[in-house]
Amino acid sequence: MLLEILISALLLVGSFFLLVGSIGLGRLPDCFMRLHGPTKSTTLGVGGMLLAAVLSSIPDGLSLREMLIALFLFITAPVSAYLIGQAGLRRRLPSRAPLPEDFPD
Amino acid sequence: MRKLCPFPTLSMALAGTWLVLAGISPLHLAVALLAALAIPLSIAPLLAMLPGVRSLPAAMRLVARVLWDILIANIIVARLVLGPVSRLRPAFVNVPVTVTHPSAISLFMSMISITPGSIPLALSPDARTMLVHVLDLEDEEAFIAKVKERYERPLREILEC
Repeated sequence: MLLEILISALLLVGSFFLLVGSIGLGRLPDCFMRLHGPTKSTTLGVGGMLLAAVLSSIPDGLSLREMLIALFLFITAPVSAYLIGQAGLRRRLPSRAPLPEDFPD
Repeated sequence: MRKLCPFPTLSMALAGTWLVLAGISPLHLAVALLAALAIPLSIAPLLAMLPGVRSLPAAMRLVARVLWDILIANIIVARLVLGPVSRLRPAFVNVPVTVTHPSAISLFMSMISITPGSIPLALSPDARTMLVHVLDLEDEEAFIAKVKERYERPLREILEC
């Protein structure tokens, strides 16, 4: 019972932050600001979901596989954000923050 | 022994990861053992470049700090994203980098990246400056001081470089 409440709470928190990430992707005005939405909210969003999955596996033997998903996500998310950002910088996409004049790459 | 298994920590982590992924059975124990021995040997030149860890407890504390910052910063960014967009103050910030080891720089950038609100987008060729995009910048000096104090200083203390 207590476990179910905890799992539900984690699922709700996780979905909330995933939703916020998607809303950010849609609402924010330029590429660089949009990067913040999905790359970030997913850390806690996916984290909450995965923790809920781990907890729900407790009754029939704890499964830690989900923690590995979180680990891999934390390792790879910065790389994709960096690549998209680099592409944006090189193409000099419109940005509300003034683009740095001549950042050597 | 040292020749067969030059990186015991990595070997144990690899075997542990495989067993968590695949489940524990005689077959998977054998695969885990094989992976633990073969993978470090096959990438030994790369591993030789990695800096050693001076203090494992300090490294754990840094991981805990980053996880905590992810939690706090997610809430802050959620509020920013849901609030009025016109009030955000996005900015590019040049953060001076003082750690010199490639692994340390990469970890420093990754930590800035997974804590919400800031994303490193470029590193200067001399690796002395990184360009960070901040979603809502209040005070440039304070931001730079914060990331350097919270992430870079512990890295320098933990890694042998």
